[in-house]
Amino acid sequence: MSWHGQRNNDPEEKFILRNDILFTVDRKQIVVADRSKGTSTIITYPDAAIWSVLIENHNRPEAILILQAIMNKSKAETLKMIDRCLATWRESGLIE
Amino acid sequence: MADQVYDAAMNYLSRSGLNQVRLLGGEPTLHPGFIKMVTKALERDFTVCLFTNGLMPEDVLCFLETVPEGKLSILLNTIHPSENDRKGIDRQRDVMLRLGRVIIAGINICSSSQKMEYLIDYVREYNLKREIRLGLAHPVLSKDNLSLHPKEYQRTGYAIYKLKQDAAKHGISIGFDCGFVPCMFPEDYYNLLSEELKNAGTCCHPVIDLLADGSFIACYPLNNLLKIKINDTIDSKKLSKRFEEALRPYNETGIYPHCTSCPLFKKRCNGGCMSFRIQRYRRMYEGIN
Repeated sequence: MSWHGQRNNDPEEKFILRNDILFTVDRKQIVVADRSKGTSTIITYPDAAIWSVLIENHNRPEAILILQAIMNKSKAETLKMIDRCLATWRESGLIE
Repeated sequence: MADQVYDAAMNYLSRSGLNQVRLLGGEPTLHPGFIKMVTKALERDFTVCLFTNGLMPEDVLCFLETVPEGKLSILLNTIHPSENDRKGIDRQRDVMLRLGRVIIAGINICSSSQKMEYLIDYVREYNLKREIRLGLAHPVLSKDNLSLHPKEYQRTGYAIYKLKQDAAKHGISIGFDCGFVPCMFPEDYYNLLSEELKNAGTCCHPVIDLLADGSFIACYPLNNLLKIKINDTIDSKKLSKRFEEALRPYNETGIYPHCTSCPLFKKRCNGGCMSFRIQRYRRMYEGIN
């Protein structure tokens, strides 16, 4: 996985925001603004937790551990949720 | 502002069905063509609204005294009497004495410790319009200007509430510019506040200013977000639409992280000044890059 712009050959594991994407963290959600489309996306728990942890943690194994603890899930379930979120956000054009 | 830009601006207003020319600055009365600009507006049957600090040249003041009743209104941004600016305060007093009938006194709040009670005395002493206009100093996206931070809003809200109570005793109302949020004011007093105060939280929308170079902006704090050059076809409806589209991505949050879980969000409050809201996004963005 590539964190904060670190390059990795596996595109499925990247978490790089697209250029026109900004986000802010609210108390119960994350709001993502797409300046090019003029739209915004609201991400609520538990997906918001995944976004927060992925954006702030350089180390993938550590990020998974944190998310397991936050969501009280097994490693396999956590990985499944991460993959689902990444696929959704990639499809929505939020991440590369 | 060049003559041709000013003429184009009046054409824009006519095209948009707007009947008021609003002159602001800087200090508009210091523009060498100020008298000519007001005269042109009056000849085209516009009313004129002037935003000024009152420190105007004598010839401008004499001219403004001659403007017919009902054609001129002035929002005077006052200097606090305790400030060390005797000359400026005296000039403002002279302007209020001579133009009081068309003046609404106001203040731009940039600190929660700012005193405002003197505005009541001004209204009474100079027979000003019986309204006090309050504005908040907002952050300008492109500059590091002096602004009132949302952390100071509640303290400011208490002071405004006190002002409102005192003003009401003299039949003076309080008017609000953009960016006020209901949570500035003590919850216990909220139901006692006027409808105007309750609705103050929803007034952040493109007000559309025209810069001297002929560029429209959504408002001054957002002056570097989007600029649209004036032309012979654009009207206020089209402009509002363009600016609203540019601001839409930032509509889903407020100035505080807890805004979106507040029951008043999008009902009584749109989340406060858009410039603050956008800066919340920018900080996050800059933090990860």
